[in-house]
Formats: sequence, structure tokens, C-alpha cells
Amino acid sequence: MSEPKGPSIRSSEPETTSSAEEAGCLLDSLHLHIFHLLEDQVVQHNQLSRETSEARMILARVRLQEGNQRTAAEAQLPRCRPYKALCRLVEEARAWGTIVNLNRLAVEPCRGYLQPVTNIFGALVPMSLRVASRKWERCVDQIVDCANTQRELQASISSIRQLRRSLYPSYPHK
Amino acid sequence: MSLLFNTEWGFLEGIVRGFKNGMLKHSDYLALTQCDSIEDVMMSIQGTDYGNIFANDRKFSVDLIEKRLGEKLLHEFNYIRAHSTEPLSSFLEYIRYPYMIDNVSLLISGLNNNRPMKRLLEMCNPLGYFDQLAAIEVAVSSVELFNAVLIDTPLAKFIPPEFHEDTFGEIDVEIVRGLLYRSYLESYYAFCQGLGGTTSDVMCKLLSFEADRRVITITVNALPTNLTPNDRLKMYPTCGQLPDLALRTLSEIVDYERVRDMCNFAGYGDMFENIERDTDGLIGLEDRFLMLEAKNNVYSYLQQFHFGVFYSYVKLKQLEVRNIIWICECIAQRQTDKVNAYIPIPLE
Repeated sequence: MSEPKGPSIRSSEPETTSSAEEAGCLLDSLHLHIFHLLEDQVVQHNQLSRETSEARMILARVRLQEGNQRTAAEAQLPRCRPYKALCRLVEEARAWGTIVNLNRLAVEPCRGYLQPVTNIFGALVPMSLRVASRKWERCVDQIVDCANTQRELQASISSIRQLRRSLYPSYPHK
Repeated sequence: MSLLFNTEWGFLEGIVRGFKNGMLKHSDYLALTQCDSIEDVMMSIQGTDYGNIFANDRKFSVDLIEKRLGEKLLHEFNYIRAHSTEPLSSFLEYIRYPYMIDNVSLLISGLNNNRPMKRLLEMCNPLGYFDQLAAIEVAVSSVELFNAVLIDTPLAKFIPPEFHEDTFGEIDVEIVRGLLYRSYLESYYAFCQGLGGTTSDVMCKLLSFEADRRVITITVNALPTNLTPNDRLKMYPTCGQLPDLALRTLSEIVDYERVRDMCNFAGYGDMFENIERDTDGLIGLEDRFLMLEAKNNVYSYLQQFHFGVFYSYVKLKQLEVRNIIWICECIAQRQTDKVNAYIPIPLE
């Protein structure tokens, strides 16, 4: 997905009539940028919804295929046994604010980095459960994308408010 | 044998054939797939042979439906078991052993994860309850579970001799389950062979299919893991139609295509066909095995005066419960385009 570059208000300080026009154009650009971000957000939410629906369907299929042969997941979820997470969220600065990046670490059992699906469900995990696990991992990536788009959207809205206050200081801004 | 069979077990065979005739037909499945909500499904189920099983329930959920359907099967099974005599009683106990193995696996997993025993016992399958299960409450670790329970329970005869209490807690639960299940299946096969007659013919065919299915499923599931060929071979039941050479070869295979080639050679090639043409990606190898298992169990009713009808009824009824739960899940998740992907049971 492309990341449209948001215009910054820091370099635009309205001092003359032409500066006011420039500020107005900047305001228009910011509004357009918001519409692009809203469009991206809707697409991402739809993708996430589709991916989670497919993953839930596969889990239902596992329930049909395995029946009572699989042990209840609640009994298998690790409890009071620490293990190292494979995914780390790292914040990265951007011109308009910060985004989060998802860093995935390699599975290394000797160092305590275990694969969740086999760590929880045992050695003989059915193929469909592995497929569902991969789909959920893709969902996590999409959630991070949604969060970043939301952050950029909030930053753009804040920028618009700031610009409006500086352009129309006497106007009551919400 | 036919005359002797009817004097002892004719009534029970008649009962189980009646139960089988009450299973859902194609028209019942059509009605279920056209429901809009879980409540509609529950109303439709009450119009079938299941009867008014939701009379006292006010909350509607998929888990509740599964629980009530399971209770109905348990009630029917207990009725047959209570009226049975030897060797049918032992035969029916063999039907319960896999559920006992599942319950014990659940307890091992739960104890290893510090779950409270009372909560674990609530999750156990009622078909797999045994007297000593109540005494398991005293066990707080898998070592105590091994000492206090497994040795004195009906599953004791299935524990491999190399199992030791010290290593018991370190072995993966699924491998423990695999080893117990192999011992169970081979013991069941030998028991049915000893019964002789039509029971032996029907049950040995069903159990050898189950053994082959276990071998192929374990091989496919173990492909992306670090299980050694020896670990895999220990879990393979030997009472199937796959020869020993095929079992040794499958234990060493690390590639899915080679599994397919070996199954082609052994006569199970059809299991792997058409899977790529399934555009939704829902129909897998396990579904193919379930369809063939359903067909084999329905065929067992074509012969009379044998115990196989009891085994087949339990298997078919469980498949029916799973089909209903699949339909409920599709309706609950609003994905009704996939609601017809249940496993067909060719009763008609």
C-alpha cells in the first residue's frame, strides 16, 4: 500500500495575502490527504475483516475434522510458564509523528523463541490449524497497518486544526 | 451364530438400527442449512429424532448445542451398554477407550499448564468417564497422574512398557496420545478377530482403515516437525492394510509428494485427488477420510447379527453432531455460502 506524503504546516506561516492563499491550498491538501487515508483505512479494515473471517472458518473446519480427538484449547494454553514473544513492536519517527513497525524474530527453541502453534497444541498439529495460524499472523500485520493509518489520520486532523486556528484565530474552533 | 446372536443381542441390534433410522436425512440437513440463526437451528433440531433436548435452555450458543447433542448420544449409548452382556459389554467398552485417552490427554495438558483439576474435569468427554477419573482430583502433576491413575485404570493395558513416571511429564502430549491410541487400536483389532464370524469381518475392515488413516494423518502432520522416524514409527498402528515396508518408508518421508506417491501405491491415492480443485480451500485430506469412513460405517448395516452396527452407530452419530456444529458455526459467523460443506452421510 502506498503511503501518500502528507504536507507539513511547519514551513508555511501565513504573513501576507499570498501566504494566506498558500495556507488555504495547504488546508485543501490536508483535507484531500485525509480522504486518501480514510479510503486506505476502509480498504485495510475490509481486508482484515476478510482475513479474520477466513481464519475463523478454518478453525470451524478443524473442529469438524478433529471432533473430540483434539484436546480443549483452554487446557492447552500456557499459563504461568514464561516464554519469549516472537513479535516485537518498535516505534519509528516520521515527519508527522510516529508509526509502529512489527519485527518478527526467528524461531529458535534453544534460546526460548518457540513456535506458538506447536508450543500450545503439541507436535502433531493438523495442517488446517497451521493454515489458520498463518492467517492470524497475517491479521496481526494488517492490524499494525490499520494502526499506522489511524495515527497518520489523527496527525493530519491535528494539523488541520492547528492551521485553522492560525488562519482564523477569532473563529470558535472545536 | 445367527440364532445365538438374536437370543442375546437381537433386541439391542434392533434398538441400534432404530437409532440409526432416526438419524438426520438429506431433507433435515436442507432445513438446517436454511436457518438464519442459532435459535432456528435449535427449533429445527427439536423437530427431528433428537426431540426436545433444549427444553430447559434459555441461552443459545453453538457450545450448548454441541453439549446437548452429545448428551443424547451418551444416553443412547448408556442404554445399550446397560442392557448388554459379554462379549458385547467388552466390545462397547472398547468404543469408549478413545474418549478415555482424550480425557487423560486433556488432564495431562491441563496439569502441565497449571489448570485447576475441577475445571479440567468439566471439559472431559462424558463418553470417556471412568470410575477412577473422580480420584484424579488428588493428582497435582503429571507424575502423580501417572502413578495414581493410569496404572489402575482401564487404560493401564495400553501404556507402552517403555513409559516411566519420570519421563512421562517430558513427553509431548500428542505423542503420548499417539502411543496409547496405537496400543488401543491393535488390542481392539485382536479382540474383534477373536470374536470371529461377521463381527470379525466387518470390524477388522473398519479398524484396518482406521489404522491406515492414522498412519497417513500422523505422517502428514509430522512433516513440518522434528519428530524422528523412530518416533513416528512407534505411533503407527500395525493392524492396517499398509505393509510394514510402507510403514517404515512413511516414517522416513519428509516430503508431501512422496506421501502421496506411497499412498497411491497402497491404494489410498484417491484421498489426495481433487484437493487442488477445491477453490475454497476447505476440503482437506481429513475430510476425504471422513467421507470414506462414513461410507464404510453405513455399509456395515448391510449385514446382520454382528457387533459392528454398534461401533458404526457411534461413529456416524458423532459425525452427524460435527455436521450440525459446522452448520451452526457457518450461521453464527454469517458465512452461509459454505454451509453445505458438511460431510455427507449416505444413509439413503
